[in-house]
Amino acid sequence: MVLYLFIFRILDLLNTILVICRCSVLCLITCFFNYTALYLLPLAIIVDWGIFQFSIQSVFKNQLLDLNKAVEEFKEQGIDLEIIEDDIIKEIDTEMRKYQLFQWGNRQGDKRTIVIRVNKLFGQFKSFAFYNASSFIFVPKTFYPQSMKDRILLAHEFAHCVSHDLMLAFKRQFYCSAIILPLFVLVSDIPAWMKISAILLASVLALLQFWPIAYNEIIANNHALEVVNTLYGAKFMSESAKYLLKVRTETLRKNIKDKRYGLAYAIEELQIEHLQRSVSENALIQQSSPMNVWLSIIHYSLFALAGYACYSFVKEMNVSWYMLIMALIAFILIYVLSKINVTKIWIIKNLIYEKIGIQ
Amino acid sequence: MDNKEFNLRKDWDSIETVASDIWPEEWSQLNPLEIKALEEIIEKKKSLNTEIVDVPGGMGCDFSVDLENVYYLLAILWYLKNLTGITNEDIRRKMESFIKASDKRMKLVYKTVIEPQLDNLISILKKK
Repeated sequence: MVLYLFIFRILDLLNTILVICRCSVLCLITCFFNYTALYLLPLAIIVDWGIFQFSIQSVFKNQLLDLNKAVEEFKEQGIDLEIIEDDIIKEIDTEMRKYQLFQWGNRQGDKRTIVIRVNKLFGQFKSFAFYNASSFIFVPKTFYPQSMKDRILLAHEFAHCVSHDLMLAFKRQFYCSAIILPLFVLVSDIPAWMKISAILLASVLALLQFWPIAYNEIIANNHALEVVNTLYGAKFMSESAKYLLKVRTETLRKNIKDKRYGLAYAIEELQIEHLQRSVSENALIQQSSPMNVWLSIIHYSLFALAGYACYSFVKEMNVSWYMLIMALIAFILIYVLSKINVTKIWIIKNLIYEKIGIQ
Repeated sequence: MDNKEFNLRKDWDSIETVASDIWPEEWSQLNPLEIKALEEIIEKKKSLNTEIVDVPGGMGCDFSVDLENVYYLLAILWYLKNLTGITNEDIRRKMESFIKASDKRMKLVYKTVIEPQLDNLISILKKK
């Protein structure tokens, strides 16, 4: 069991590297066939770094704009926002922090999870998670921390706030892979069937990019149940798992009734599948990854095609100082642009904090 | 608490006891504040749908279906409780015409939870 978990973690790490450092890995593969391609490595690293930076920043910005929209709507309707603090909230927060990913995300000051009671919110919990700033959980006017249901739903939202918004950035990385990898194939001199396969694989990859969002929910359920188990015991966890399963099943029925068969439907179905296993085995399902089997197979195939294309592309390549100069200019450009973007995002963030009443 | 309010609370207390007896699995999902809020909506003759605001964006967990089930259960029992001074047959007839005009979900709650034990419920809830 421990060995399986170890292999699973290693594969997970490799997959993550392949998703985030795709250009650099392609460049290294090409170096096996033509060492002069090593000169392209700085450029590949910069492109990967730039794409990752902008993915994270755009997720952060979109989440902030969504939060702004929600707060604006509350204010328009004259809804009161009340920051609540409670011993139960504190203990869930403290326990959940053990699952915090990327502690370095706290560079920009005091990162907290703030629970806000909204007197018009009824029948739902909402969270706006930020990996590098304070996250917000909006709870309904009837929030009652002593009840089992409210605790598990709160723990689920807290789980989203321990950096899992990075999965939204991961989704964008898949989207980038679906554009960049076939580009290598299309501009190179390789057989037509390979080009067609690359386009087909890229289309399926683009369709499957919702998986990190589904994973985000599955892992939030797992962490919430784990926290509940540590704090309140196994019986409470088992009851909570059943409740989550019930809520998800009801939501799926609602989606069917409203004829919503897209992303929301798929996410609910995958969550139900995992929760059913949790309930029937009365245990937590640990082995779920940001890349499922189908996503991995498609990504690897696309990678193999792009690797081959890259090799054929740089077969005749000569060493050139222009490439290094190009890499340097690209780095400076991306760096400067990302700084301008970050400054804009932090201005938006501070404005929203003011609206909520937080300094 | 004035007298009118006290009587209203007494009515709700008896309805809550009946509701928790006849549909415990659904009743136990809600916390006391949610039940109180649903009672207020029914009393003020508001619709549950207008009380549920859809918040765009972010990640969320929606349990409004639970609220809906208990809302319909309470609404039917409230209506039943207020049908006073008439015979059981009249109550059944009035109840059926009330359900006929209601939405699909309410009909389902009535059919599965209330109807099988309507006579028993009438005798428990009927005002003296």
